[in-house]
Amino acid sequence: MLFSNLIALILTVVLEFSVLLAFIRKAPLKLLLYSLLINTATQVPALYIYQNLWPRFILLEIIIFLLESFLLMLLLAAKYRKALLLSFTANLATAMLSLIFFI
Amino acid sequence: MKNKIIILAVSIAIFLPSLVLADLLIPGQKSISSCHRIVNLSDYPDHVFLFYGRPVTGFGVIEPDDCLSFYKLSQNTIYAIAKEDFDQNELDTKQDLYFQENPKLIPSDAELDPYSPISSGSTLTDVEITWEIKGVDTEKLEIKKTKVIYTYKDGTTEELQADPDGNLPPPLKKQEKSWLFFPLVFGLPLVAIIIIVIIILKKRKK
Repeated sequence: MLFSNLIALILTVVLEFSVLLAFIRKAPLKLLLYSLLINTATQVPALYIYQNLWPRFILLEIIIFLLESFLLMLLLAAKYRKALLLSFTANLATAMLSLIFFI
Repeated sequence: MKNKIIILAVSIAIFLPSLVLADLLIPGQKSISSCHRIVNLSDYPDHVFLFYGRPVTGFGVIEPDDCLSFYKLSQNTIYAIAKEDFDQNELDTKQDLYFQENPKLIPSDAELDPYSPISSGSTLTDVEITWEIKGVDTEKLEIKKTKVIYTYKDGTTEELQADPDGNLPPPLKKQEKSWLFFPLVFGLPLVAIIIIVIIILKKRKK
């Protein structure tokens, strides 16, 4: 399980980084670092909570989406609306990937 | 903003039903094999017992050695019928109609659900649920769950009794965790949060 969670984390970081880069189009290394930090802080505990305590996929995704939008706003010094849109797009992409990955 | 709301609504509309309705495993879940066994069929030699599952499982006569597995989205139950009233040809011919039209069928309130899906972290591999017929008359078949046998990945089994209402206890054996579990699950996010806070504080100072 740990291995599959690690793979899921790496895939999520890569995918969310791609989404951020597609929107922002500069400082790729910084975006990769932010994507790695944000997803490590949110996705690892979320997967644990989902698999062991609270199996509510959509609700957890919404909480992660809101948390990540807040962190993106602070890290990118972006307006909250833009951070919301970035976070929503990135999380929609990764949520769909996670469904494909686990089906 | 209006466009974004439309995109959000459409995305949710596409995404949500697939989670709720589709025949899929959502992340963090897995399927395991489970079956239902009736242990005292031979105590009722004057009756034939039938399983019936809609819309997928189908129907059939339950034999004493059977351990019945059902499709996860089917609703499955058991009927009894007096031996002299049972006609196998009629069952084969009428199929679903047999269960809807036959007044001699004796219904039960048993629901034979598959024990699945479960958390992907679980080490359970098989579940066998045991039922016991408590009585049968012309109106009702009374049947209750009496125990469950959990089998784990390492081959060990656990046999637990159901409570008087037929509720099954959950498996007792806890999932074994790797030594890497706590550093990865709690340490990594903590380190990430600390670095994020440092970056944000540095940005604010500038």
